Amino acid sequence: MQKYLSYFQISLKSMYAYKGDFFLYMAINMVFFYVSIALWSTVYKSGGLTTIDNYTLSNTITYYLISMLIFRFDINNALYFAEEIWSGEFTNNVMRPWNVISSYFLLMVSDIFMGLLSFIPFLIFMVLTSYQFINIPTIGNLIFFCITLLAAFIMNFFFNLILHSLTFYFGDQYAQIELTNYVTSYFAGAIFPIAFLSGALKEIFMILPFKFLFFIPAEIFLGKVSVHQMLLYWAEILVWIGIFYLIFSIVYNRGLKLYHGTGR
Amino acid sequence: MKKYLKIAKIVLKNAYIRDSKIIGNVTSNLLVSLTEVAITLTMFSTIFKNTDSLAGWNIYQVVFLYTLMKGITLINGVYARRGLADMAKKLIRTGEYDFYATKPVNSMFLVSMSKPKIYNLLTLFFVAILSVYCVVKSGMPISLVSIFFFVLFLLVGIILFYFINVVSVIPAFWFIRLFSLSDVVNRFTQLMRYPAGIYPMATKIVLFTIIPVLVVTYFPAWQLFNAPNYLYLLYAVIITLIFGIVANYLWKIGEKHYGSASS
Repeated sequence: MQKYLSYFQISLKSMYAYKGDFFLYMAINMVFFYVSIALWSTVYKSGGLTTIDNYTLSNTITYYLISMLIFRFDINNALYFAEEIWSGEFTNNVMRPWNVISSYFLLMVSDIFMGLLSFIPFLIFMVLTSYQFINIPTIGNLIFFCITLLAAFIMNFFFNLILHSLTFYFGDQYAQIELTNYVTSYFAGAIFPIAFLSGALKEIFMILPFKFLFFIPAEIFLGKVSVHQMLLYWAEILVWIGIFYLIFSIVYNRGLKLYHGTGR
Repeated sequence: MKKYLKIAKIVLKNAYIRDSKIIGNVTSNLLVSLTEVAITLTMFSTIFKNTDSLAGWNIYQVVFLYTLMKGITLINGVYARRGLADMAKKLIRTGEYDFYATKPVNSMFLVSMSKPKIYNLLTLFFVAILSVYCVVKSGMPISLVSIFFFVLFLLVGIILFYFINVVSVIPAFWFIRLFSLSDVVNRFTQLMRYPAGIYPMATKIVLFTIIPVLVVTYFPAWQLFNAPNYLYLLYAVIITLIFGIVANYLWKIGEKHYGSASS
């Protein structure tokens, strides 16, 4: 345990060395939030609407604020598994006396942790500048939101590990991973709430597991999910974690046998 | 001028040869871009399910504005985007900038042209088709004069966007590692895809002057659907000239600060 803790601390220090980059990244990402406020305020106003599919303007703006927070859990920019397999650096990692997947997990967590830490001042800034639109959750909903978010994060980690493991078989997967993550973020409701969709499209989105990445946590934050429904969601996430873990184990173990460590 | 055209031709030819050999990568990139367009269209469709117009623009006009933004960023990507992103990510930090600074041509031009993404033209083709479709479906009367002025605005917009891109990465000369500088222009494009009318007055002023991204897309699109406005054109030309001068000036100052380092 001690060696993993040390690795986590070193990763954190490494991230902290480039805090300026983190801060700039957060600052420019706020553009998305303010554009969303301008856009949706105009939509509600010009359409003479008080709600869109049960979402008031405040709900919608809060949804985008929460999305900004959830984006900090983005695995795509924090997992270097595929890159290391492709470059051959994976050899160094796999030969060390530790669980290689845990090391990737810790590196990713430290990356995301730093991102979250740097995000706090910007989050406060966004809340203060748009407080009239922001819904404050109850303590209970906040706790449920955090639990759901963490569970969804683990689910997404295993899902991404499957994508990264495909590098063992097909070589460089960068573009495919990027495309998949982009599409899944859409299915997750990162671009707009899934509630705004209708018909078959909405049903498809709700069957897929990706709704747990953005839409469901945001709905919980907004208090739109009953405790009973939430427990069902948690059970569903656990099932998806199990499925993704199983697929990953098969793909990874077979892929490891194909790995030659030669890199590019 | 002839020398620069010759360099551009060689670099583009090289890029074409390179991209021809990595068809898989080109296809993936095309797929990513087209998926992004498709996703954005569903978002517009969701928005217009709830309202008839956005700041006075109908769905086809708004999608046209989006395609314009997409088109201009793709064109910028053909010749400048990746080279300038490299400037923010590694050229200064690793000292690779030496290669560009020591050549007898404008280093800003050379860095910009260093990594063209010629396959962007494939996506541009699809975006152009969508763009024409939106203009036709918009139901707006469009005169030949409007089209002529639109082309003028578009050319000015492309040049202005390039200079905005250059200015956004120049701080790399002073900072050791600011990878995010390469992403600044990407974030600005989010502001370019909607009609100016959705922004509050103060924001609008900023987006027409200090960060003039609305001049890049909103002006040309507005021009296509309205009678020619010489003052707008004059303004667009002046602000482009200002940004060109500022970009060149700051680049030279940055270059003087550059001490050739590697790590």
